Amino acid sequence: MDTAKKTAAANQQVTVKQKTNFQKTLSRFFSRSIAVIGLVIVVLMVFFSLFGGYATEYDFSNRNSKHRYQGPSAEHYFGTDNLGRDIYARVVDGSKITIVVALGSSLFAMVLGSLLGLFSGFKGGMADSVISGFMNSLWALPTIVLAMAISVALGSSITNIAISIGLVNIPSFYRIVRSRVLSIREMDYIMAARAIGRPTWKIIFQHVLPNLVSTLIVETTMACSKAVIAEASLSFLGLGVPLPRASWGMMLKDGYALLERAPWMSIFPGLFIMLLVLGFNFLGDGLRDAFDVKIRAD
Amino acid sequence: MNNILEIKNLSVAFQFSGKPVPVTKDVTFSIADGEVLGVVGESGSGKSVTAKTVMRLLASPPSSVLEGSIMLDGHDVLNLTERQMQRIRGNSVAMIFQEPMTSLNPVFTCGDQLVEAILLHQKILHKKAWKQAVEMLDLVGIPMPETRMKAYPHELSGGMRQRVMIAMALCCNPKLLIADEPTTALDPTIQAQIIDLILKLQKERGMAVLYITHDLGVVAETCQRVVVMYAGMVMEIADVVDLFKHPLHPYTLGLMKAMPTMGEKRDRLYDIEGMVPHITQMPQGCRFHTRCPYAQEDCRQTCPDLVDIGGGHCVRCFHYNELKEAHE
Repeated sequence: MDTAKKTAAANQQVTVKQKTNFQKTLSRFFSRSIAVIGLVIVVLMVFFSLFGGYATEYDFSNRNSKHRYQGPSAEHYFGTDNLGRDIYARVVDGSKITIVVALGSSLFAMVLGSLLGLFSGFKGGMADSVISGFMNSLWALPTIVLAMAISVALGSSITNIAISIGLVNIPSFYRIVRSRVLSIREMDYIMAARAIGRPTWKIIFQHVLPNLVSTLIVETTMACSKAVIAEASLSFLGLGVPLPRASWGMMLKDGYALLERAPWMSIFPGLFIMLLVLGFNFLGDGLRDAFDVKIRAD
Repeated sequence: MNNILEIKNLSVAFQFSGKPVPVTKDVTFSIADGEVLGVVGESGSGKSVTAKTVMRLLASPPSSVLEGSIMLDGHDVLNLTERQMQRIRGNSVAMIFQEPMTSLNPVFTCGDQLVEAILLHQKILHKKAWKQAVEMLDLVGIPMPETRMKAYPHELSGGMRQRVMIAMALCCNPKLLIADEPTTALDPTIQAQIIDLILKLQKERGMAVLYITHDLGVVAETCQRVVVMYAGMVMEIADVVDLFKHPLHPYTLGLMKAMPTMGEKRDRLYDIEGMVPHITQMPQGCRFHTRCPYAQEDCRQTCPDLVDIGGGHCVRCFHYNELKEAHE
């Protein structure tokens, strides 16, 4: 009875301890104002894209010739464009596209890039040389040119744009995963895991991959910010999601010619692009600091 | 008595700038069931390479087995597929390593790693495996095993971690335990505890132990027979008492002289002149002749064979008689 109580108490102690470990990472994250700002921006953006549409009665694609070139007002929060469309409603719609593309392409790149990196880093030899060579040549091409080529080839829908931006981002995941695998592979605990008879695939997915989680989270956040810019660039160049959807890059381009007449047409989408990129970057930096083992040590 | 492990004429090579260079040559020894065999030698003498070859843990390339055979518990290790080998590792043979600080995966609790090792070789429920793991931790002398199951490796000390490693190695009742300098990274008190633990478990379970070390003191305490290795070759094999009383190889003698004795006052400790030659620059003839005070012309020409001089005492030296006479 007494021992049981003791054990229970001891167990509780450990649970508390574990929680403290997790809380340490959290408090490291929340102790940096930049990280918190990043998190707030990203969360607000997601809320904005989900519920922002309810704040206005206008539709993002309805043209109204009577309401052309109106400045921001209580009725049209961000004004209207040259065709009388409500810019606020269009920015909300653009945020949906951007966030879906950013998350979708980054997850796509993360999964493919890490699988290739794990395989290549663990296998070594010929397979590694071939994949590395291919990835390095992908890496050497300018991002936007490659994304343009792929999205032209695939055609422009939200999915295809996410895939093309994702494909371009694969090398950065591949390189980071492969280099981490190369160092983890030589660790004593991998040798120990093999010595106890663990099969190779179990070692890769149960022993190597969990060591990469923090790196992958940080890298995915950073890839999101890159994807926001890539998506905006593609649609600025006219290769983005087609009408009637309103992507931020396209709105920028539409407003660009009318910058003097109706500056709000480009200011608002531009502002949102900047905010979201900044949000993802801050968040990524904050996560990196929170996870970083070297900083944690002291 | 059956031999759990028989190594015959084993030569392992590493790639050096494209060419395979043998690092161990003609290694031959065996371990009987339930025997504790020590392997001693300086750093770079091929002790760990031999052990890892038995486990087939060396990456190939860069390593390759040039010749020889390894029979482990009736299996011809060098001719097994990787899958068959995975079944043997942990089951027939398990290994503990030099560095307890880094031999556990930092991202999992000790319990998770133990349970995983148990489930790998036994088809039992997770709950039962957990219970078994707790018993194992208790067995290796870890206080409050239930609590420790939930601890991450960084929350344990080096000695504790080595105990966890031993528990993990033993959880599937291996017939042979390979201990690759298990106490080198620990301080002397903990070292003694871990050695006692290994010996206690060895007796209880009747398993054989291949104990790799460079500490002759540890050998004297723990082992029944000793293999002395130098520069990738077996120099002498003998019963532990025999070896300490009558070392017949000049290298063994050198090692013994280099051990400081308590109570003896000395300005300088004895050392064997020179260093182990680099594996790409192995001398002709006997590999030890460059550092051997007894070396003669024939040692420079040809490498002596390992000869059994009776009573299971083998030595690789042309002139062991000189040492023998000196003992008498």
